[in-house]
Amino acid sequence: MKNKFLFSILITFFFTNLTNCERDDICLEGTPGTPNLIIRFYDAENINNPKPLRLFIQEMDDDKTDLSSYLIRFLIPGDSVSVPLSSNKDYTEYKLFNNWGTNISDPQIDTLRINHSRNDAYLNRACGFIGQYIFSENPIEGISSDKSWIKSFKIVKDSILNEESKHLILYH
Amino acid sequence: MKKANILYYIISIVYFSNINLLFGQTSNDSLSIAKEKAPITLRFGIDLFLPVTSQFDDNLNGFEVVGDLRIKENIYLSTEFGSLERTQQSELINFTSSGSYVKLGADLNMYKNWTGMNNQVYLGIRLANSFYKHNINNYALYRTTRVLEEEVVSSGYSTGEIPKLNAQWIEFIAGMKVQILKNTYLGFSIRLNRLLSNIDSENFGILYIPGFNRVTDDNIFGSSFNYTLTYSIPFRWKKSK
Repeated sequence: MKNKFLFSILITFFFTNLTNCERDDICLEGTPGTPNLIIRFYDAENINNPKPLRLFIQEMDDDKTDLSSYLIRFLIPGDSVSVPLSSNKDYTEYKLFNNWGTNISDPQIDTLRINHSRNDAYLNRACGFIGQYIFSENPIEGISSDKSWIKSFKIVKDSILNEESKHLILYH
Repeated sequence: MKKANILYYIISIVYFSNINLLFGQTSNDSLSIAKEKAPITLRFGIDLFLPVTSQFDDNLNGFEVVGDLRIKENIYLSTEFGSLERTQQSELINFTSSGSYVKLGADLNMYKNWTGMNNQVYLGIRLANSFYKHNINNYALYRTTRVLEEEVVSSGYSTGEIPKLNAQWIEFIAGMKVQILKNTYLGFSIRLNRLLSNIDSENFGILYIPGFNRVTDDNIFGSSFNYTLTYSIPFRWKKSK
């Protein structure tokens, strides 16, 4: 009787250990995550041509004052960039520096505000939720004033569901 | 080598002859026992595991009441009723499951007791039903590109309550109950659960069902166990002869 009791206790431990680690604890590699916003830069005069630039991007966040925690990206001559959108707010702000490092005396800085809403789609236990962004009615703010270097924009896709192609064009 | 073989030979002869002796013994016993009817016994108690772990784990709060009724020599009608609230972090999602469940079924005692003993080694089956709800407390979005600081979504979007969930499942049980004091039993059982039906929320997979335990993604099986402390009240119905 006592042996059987011990035996069953052993079995339980075996059981609980088995259930601790399972295949669905790991999010499979290659599962697409929350998509980033893909921006391409085009020529304002000749709207069909991409126009490369030296860009520096700084994340704007009221909560973050420490520069090292900012999201910073460089684009050394190129014409496309992908940036993550906010998880908590319905807008995302970036400071875009044009011709970074070449024109220090006259910096060209635009603060780009992207307005969006979001639905979160549930994938599975390991991957959790991914965000699916949709541009709001007034999607882009902070550009096309007299001082700004970004002249206009064009929404290529209304919703940001994947990273297969560009979502937004900025003309400069 | 040879010595060992001879030993095996002798031992097996002794062993088998003993078995024959035992068989002879039991058949004689059963003749005398058969006349004595087993009393109908009501037994009830609690699960020990849940209240004890609830003490140590802030994220768990629950209890389970168990009971069985002996209706035949080795057949018991059994039930479990419980309530559970559990908060857990599953990878990127933090959620709370709460609800109550009821399990109904029967146990078949496989253990041959001596007269007066009432131990059980049993196989059982249960049909179970759980009414529960989920609350998604917070989660982080799954991203493949690195963000310097992962932002946790703790309000709005997909957080909040998913009410009125319901699941049915069937349990296959192996367990035992040992008499430790007069009319008092210590029990233990392991359970293999198989989901029969489950209301699945469209925007959140069910990861945990109170009573069923963890639900895996593309699998309808689960497992659980309990330790019980039960007290029995034997009574007889007077038969008019």
